Amino acid sequence: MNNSVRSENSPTHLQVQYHDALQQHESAVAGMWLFLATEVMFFGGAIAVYIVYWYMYPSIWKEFSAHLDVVLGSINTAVLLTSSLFVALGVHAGERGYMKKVMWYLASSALLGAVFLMIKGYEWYQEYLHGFYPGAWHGGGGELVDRGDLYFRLYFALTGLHALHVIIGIVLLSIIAILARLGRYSKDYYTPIEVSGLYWHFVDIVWIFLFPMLYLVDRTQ
Amino acid sequence: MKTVGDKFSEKEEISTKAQWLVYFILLALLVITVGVAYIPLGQFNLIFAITVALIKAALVVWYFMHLRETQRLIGIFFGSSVFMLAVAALLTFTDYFTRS
Repeated sequence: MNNSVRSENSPTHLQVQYHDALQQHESAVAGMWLFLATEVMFFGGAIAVYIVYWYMYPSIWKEFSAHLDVVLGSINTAVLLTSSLFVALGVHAGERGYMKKVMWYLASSALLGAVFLMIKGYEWYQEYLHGFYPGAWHGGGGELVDRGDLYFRLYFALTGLHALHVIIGIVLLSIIAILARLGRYSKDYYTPIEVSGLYWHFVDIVWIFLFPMLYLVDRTQ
Repeated sequence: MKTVGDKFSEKEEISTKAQWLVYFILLALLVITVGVAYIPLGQFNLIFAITVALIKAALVVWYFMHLRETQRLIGIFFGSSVFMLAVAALLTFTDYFTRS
């Protein structure tokens, strides 16, 4: 392998183990997709548990899912969809080297993510006030599942895990936005922007599934 | 030496116009999902909600995540994980859904 050509003409961001910038870029993207595959397993398993219990206790699922706020849930879904659009537009701008646009798009997406968390937190608070959380009923008779314990354990576990991923995504997007504005990237090297975008889109996709599963169990009267 | 820009020469990229269009389609699907949830359709409610969710996820993966511009092998990696999840979930369901 002739290395002298590589060291004189290769861009500064190119790491030694890669033959060229395209290979490096594709490897990074492949790595993120692989990680997202593990996340599919992670959330998929948790959602499968929810579905099994839904099948076993349909009336209880209907009863307690009705206490979730469909309006807030729908707004939150729209919030995440918008943030996903902004991330996609930000990556598009990054591919062309418009780093200021990247900063604005990614910062807006992070902000929308924060809005999502605030709405979610408000929902959790309302559910707490109304006693819709695991362990709310102390003493008294009846099976835990009938009192919504099982449902809300799963609800808080699923939305809590998702919220944790949203927090990670917000931090990630914010850092990348700042680094983009500081001139760390260019149209020849925007890989971190794209890879962070992929992560955020996945967080959005998880919610796209969580929303109907949790909020729209059976809203028919 | 290939630069990152070379990947665009193979496929036509997705325009921002297309992404905005997909966004409004996603919002429309959201409204439809919520609306249909209030119509009594029995078992079909669940099937409809999941189908719409799958369509929305597919739109995000295809138009926002540029899966089209990514190497086919990576798509197979990701698709195979989804497939394996489906197998694991289905087998779990055949257990629990057939218990009396």
